[in-house]
Amino acid sequence: MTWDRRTLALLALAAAVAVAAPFVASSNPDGLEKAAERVGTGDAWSIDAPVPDYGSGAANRVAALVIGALAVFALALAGANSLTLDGVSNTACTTR
Amino acid sequence: MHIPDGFVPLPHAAAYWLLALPFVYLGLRWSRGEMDDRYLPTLASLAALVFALQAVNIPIPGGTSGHLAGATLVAVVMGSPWAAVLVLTLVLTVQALVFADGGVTTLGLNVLNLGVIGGFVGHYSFRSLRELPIPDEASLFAAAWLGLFVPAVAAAFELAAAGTFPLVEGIAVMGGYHALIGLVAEGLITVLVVRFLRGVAGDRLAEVAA
Repeated sequence: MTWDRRTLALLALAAAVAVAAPFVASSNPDGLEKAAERVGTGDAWSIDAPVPDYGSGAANRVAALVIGALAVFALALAGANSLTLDGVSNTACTTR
Repeated sequence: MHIPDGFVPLPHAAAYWLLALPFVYLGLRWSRGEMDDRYLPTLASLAALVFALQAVNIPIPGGTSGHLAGATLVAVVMGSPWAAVLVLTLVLTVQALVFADGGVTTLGLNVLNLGVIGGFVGHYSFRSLRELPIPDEASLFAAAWLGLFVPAVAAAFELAAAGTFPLVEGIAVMGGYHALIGLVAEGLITVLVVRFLRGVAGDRLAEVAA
């Protein structure tokens, strides 16, 4: 596993986007919500999530998005590692 | 385009879970079999970026807004639609469980639309379009547009089957809004991120769309 420029650049970009998002994102309804307003009859409900709608206020939203992005990164790495640590490693196979 | 809980009846939601899970399983098999392990950090950092970019709703004329879905971006950068299935599955799961963004009962449906349909449509349209005598970035733009538009139309059919949207009007409004959203939020952002990657890394992954 290499911490190459691409990975670091993508992480830096993700962090920058997460910090900026609450300040630049439009609060207009998204395409599905707008369509539902116009022609839908659905009754949406949602679970009691820890941080519904990424929290309120810019500071909380920035924190929620940064933590969320890092959590997604960590979960992806952890999941992928748990799948490959049992020796089914591509690179290991090709270098032997 | 995250379909919330309550927009499809539970039996439908269960059926979409059953349809989506084999794709997630095949995606995991791809990641441990065919994917080069050296690109795991790339896959993980793409997942973080897609999560962050999905929070950036861009205003669209007509009083709506849209954000990147990201399936085409992931599939093209990683060179496989299975990468998109995995990344979207992870992002949608965290969004649904932690942030109440998109449904939990409808998670299978959202994985199917945004990850599976988006990933396969985006990946194979890019592969086909880049054979045409047009700039690769134009192929990428069009593929990303299709990778959002087709799932939106699929969602209109699913919501019509659910009795939540009327069929014809549903296709018209979902297709209409997402045709516009796809241009800016999906097409433009996908091209910009791939351009960014080529600039900072310049290797074979980012050269996929060079």
